[in-house]
Amino acid sequence: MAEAVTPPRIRPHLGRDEWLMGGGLLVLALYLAVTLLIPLVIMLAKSLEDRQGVFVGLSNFAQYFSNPARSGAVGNSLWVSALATLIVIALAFGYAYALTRSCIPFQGLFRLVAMAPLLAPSLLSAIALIYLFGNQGIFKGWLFGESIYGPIGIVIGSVFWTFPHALIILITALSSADARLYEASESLGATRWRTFITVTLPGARYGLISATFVVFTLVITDFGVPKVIGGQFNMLATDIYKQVVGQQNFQMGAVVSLILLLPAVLAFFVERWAQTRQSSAVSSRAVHYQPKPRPGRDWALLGLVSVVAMLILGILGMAAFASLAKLWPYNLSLTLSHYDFSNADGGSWTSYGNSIRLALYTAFFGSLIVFAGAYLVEKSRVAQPLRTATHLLALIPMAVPGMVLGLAYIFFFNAPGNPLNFLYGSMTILVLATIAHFYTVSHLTALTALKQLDPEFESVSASLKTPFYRTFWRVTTPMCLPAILDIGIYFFINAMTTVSAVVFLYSPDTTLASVAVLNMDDAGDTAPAAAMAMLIVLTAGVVRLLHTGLSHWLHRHTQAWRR
Amino acid sequence: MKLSKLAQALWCAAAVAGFTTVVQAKTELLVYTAVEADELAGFKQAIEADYPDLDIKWVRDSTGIITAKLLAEKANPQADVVWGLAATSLKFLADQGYFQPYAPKGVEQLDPKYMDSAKPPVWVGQRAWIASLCFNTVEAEKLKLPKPTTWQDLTKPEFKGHVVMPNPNSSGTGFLDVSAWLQMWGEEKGWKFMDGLHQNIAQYTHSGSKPCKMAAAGEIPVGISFAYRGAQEKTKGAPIDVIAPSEGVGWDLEAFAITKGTKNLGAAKQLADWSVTRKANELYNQGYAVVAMPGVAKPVPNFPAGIANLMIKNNFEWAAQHREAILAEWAKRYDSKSEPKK
Amino acid sequence: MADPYLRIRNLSKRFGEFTALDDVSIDIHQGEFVCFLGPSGCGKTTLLRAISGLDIQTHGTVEQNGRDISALPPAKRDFGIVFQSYALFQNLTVARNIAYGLENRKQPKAAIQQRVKDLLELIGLPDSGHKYPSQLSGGQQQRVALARALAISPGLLLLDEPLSALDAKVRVYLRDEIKALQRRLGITTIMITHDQEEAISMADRIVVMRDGRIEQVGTPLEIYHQPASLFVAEFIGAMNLLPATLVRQGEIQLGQTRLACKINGFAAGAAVHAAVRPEDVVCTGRTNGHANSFQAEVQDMEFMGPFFWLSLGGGELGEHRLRAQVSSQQARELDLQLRDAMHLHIPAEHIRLFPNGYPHG
Repeated sequence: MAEAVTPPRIRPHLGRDEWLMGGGLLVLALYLAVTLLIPLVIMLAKSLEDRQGVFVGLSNFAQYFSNPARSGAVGNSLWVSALATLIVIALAFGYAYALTRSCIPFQGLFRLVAMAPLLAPSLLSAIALIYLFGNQGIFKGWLFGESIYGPIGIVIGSVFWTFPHALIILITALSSADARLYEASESLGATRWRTFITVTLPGARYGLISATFVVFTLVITDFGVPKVIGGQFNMLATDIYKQVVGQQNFQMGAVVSLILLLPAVLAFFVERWAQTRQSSAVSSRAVHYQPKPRPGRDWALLGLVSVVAMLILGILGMAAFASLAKLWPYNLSLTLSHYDFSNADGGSWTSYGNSIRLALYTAFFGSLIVFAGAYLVEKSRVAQPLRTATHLLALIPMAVPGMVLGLAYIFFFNAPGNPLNFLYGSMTILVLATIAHFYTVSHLTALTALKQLDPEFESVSASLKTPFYRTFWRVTTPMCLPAILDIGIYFFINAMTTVSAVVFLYSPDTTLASVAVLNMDDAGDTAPAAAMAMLIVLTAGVVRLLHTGLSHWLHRHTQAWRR
Repeated sequence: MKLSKLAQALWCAAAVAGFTTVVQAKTELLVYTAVEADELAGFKQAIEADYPDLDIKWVRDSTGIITAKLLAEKANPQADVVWGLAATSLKFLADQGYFQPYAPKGVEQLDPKYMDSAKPPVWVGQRAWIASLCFNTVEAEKLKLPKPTTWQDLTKPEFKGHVVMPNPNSSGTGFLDVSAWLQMWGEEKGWKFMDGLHQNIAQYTHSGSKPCKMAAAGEIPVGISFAYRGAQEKTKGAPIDVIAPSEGVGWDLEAFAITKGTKNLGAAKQLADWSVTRKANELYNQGYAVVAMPGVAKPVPNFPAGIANLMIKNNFEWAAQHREAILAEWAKRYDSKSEPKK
Repeated sequence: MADPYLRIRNLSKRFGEFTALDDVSIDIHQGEFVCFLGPSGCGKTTLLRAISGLDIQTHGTVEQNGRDISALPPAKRDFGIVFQSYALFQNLTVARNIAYGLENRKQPKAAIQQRVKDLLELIGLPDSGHKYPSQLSGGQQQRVALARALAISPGLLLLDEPLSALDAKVRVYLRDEIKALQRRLGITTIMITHDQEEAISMADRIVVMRDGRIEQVGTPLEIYHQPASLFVAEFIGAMNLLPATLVRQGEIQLGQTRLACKINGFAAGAAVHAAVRPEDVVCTGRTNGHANSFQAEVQDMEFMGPFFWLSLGGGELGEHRLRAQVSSQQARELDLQLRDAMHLHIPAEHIRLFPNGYPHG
């Protein structure tokens, strides 16, 4: 017999669907390249240049590490982030445990309170902490002579604003427990402690890892809290600020940004790994765990939860009081005058209106882009390398400090000859920056929702000769609507509260409330800063409530087909 | 029929839009500034009253952010005019060829020491922004602190942990203090003073007005800040004294310059011309005691008396040249302290 | 014979270094019901996805009804598909699901409604049109998925393990129903399954696959009675595999006995596997009455209702173990007891020889 001749390789023809999907992916990849990758590369390349823009290799890094004052920030950032993470995880685990595994009353209320810090700019906690524990603070004595300005303040402030992030992950991890394991453990005569150690903790371990790294990344890249309350305590995030804003040394700023990227990137990938493990750890046959009342445990947990909730409310309450007190600490009569922003630095009701506009645009276009993008990454049949590349691009923003992104935008969008230059100084560029800044979490939320759909919808649709976009519109989108709403609210709230990226990008017509908070606090106008921050909290809170209402309505009206 | 009605409506809309454009044929001037926001509205009003064709658009932020933004935009400058920014920052940008030299009409009436020495000047000063101490009398009483009258007083042991100053690495005010001490006393004595001061510092802040705000709020008894902020706080009712230490005080100028290549050069020149007028200087004087035009300044409430005489002979050239070295030295000496003082 | 409806030639699919499909060729005729059968990872799903265009092969051609569709995207091919997961659109009613493929074709509304009504009747759910999928049982959902696939009257129906997610009882019921429907419509159908019983009961022809290659193609009877390889022999139905030696052409040594067999093609003295179906072992009782028989002891008996599983060994079998299936009636007649020595007869035509060597090498 003759040797079998290998038939020619098949080059798949592309149909309309394939062209559209491939084209969509290409557009998305270009979008992410333009709004994220290229600006970042331009910015970070400066770490290899001197001030005149001449290539100098790694000498900036050498210079950075030879200055103990600078490189000390690396250690500081690491240990402060680690400590804050440890505290948040311990508290959030207890809190999540109480909400999922005990029979304490008012669980809904406690859950609501715990989520409140999400609504506030991270500066708010720092302002409240100064009023609580500062040299004139009500509870100054509790610090035993230690100063709130420095690591203590940074840790407490960070714990406050990252707490809900950890809590959400841990509640998910703990509520997916398999009751059968507990029954098995009980029937084997294991003590409660042993059950906790051998069943509860391992069951939640990926959630714990995940939460740990999320919190760590958030703390180490945040600059709001250390800036306001960190005193002269050096952290990487504030160091970028000092380099860029204090000395206009972009090159050194880029060096610090790159250094800051490393732990954040590492943390990020460990977190992703843990996430995939968590989801596969629970089998579909798991039986939902129903806690039974046990007074000893329940009272103890109620105590813990109450204390944490009181602290959160205390900090928010203090901020509210700060916004109302006439002249802290000498005249504590209440006034609404701080809400008249006409005299305060940069803050005005116009900025507030701009912030609302930014938040609305970001929520609308952000969820649109992110969801359609995640759909193409997850469901399209073509261009595998492009899908992987796009997915990786979408994961970058989590590790990028906002200030770096903001400056990167100036360098890219304001470059002479860039055809996108017309966007510079517009509302659009703020929307683009904010979407890019908060892309990762939204992207992952969308992916999670899409992964829960039957993977064969697109195949069925193709076999029925129905274009994929029709199925996307008629099936995928309605089924993912709750997730899309979640993404929208996430964008809205973050657009209301974000400072770091947009501070370099706003124009006279697009001043923002969150930037005003920073500027007013910077100038020492603490009360108006607190007032504006409270306004943001209230707005975000109202929108959150609307969102909850809408979700409920949606849930009721789609009950027929959701089980 | 319907279509023609629509077309008609569109025509009307277009005509109205066109008409509005004609009416609004004002020149929009993008002005980057670090002047405190509460003053900006007044300036805008005054400028546009004198030059009705101008429409001033402020981009206002702290000195650091504005300077960083200007520098980042260097490849394609957006601002038409930089106005009310620290002369040190302007000088830094001017050295990179950022500005268009221009001698505003009437500039000769200003004190030459308040502007760039080139002819025509690249930048022109508007008013001086002078270092001062904010001293909280209520807190001082509680702590039995004497009122400091000199810089050296602040190095005394009783002030340990009671002084806040801005970090020169992030604040222009911080830098003008350091620069002034070194210029007044020379390198050796200057650093020795700062070594002593460092022992008493509770905190280095990021911004220059923060120490005074902290003093006003009683967070700290003594804040090293600048006079305008102190006067403002005192006027608002804070229990503070604004003190100009007797050895001499550092200062910087709020100054303006026209961006090279601006598309609105004519309008930019109009703003520059306005900015050196007597009327402008009178307005400057509402908040600041020292302005560029001699003989205009009236005492400003709550400003330390005689502060103008205590202003050191400031060598901007020297400061700009040595800035990087000074900041590095400062960071090496004081910034590595990772724990705040107790 | 007419040209095949589906002609697959030299199909290969590689994922990097891994070869999922290795030079597969097969013809499928109009109106045929063909099952791709094999363990997971054998390439049957890859083959189905290549035929549908959902994952196009690396090499080789597919022709449908004389048209080369090798490189076409799924939307340009002519097939309907049903998945194990049903893949019903949860947010659309049953009627909208079925109408989904029709709505895109600019047909009059009334025609669509009529078609949906007919299909609902065809699958025996005439009153469920307004319900949502989640309100139906698994079996009902799968029937809706079938109706949706059939709605556009495709030339080819692809079933991707359609019954695997269902309960045993529903599975058997739906098996018959799908088969009857297929007969009635005469639609060419390919089903993939790892369940040999399902394949045998439903298919006109079975394609047994292993490691990306076709092991055997044949009717269920051929596959069952004339397995072409040790793998097929073992994979389909129960099978005794006994190591033996070919003494001379047509005779093997098995333990201490010699048995005649029909299949040749091995050299004398070769070590072989003798394959015997349990039901082909005839228990003749306590006395020897047949040729091609031997004696062994009943070492285990398992009552299964209509029949017994016997486990035989010792005697002339020696170390070998042989499973036999004996009807309950015969067992009663023989008064079969544990430890009984029995005479066993295997007709020569039911002994098949395969080369020695374990099939899952």
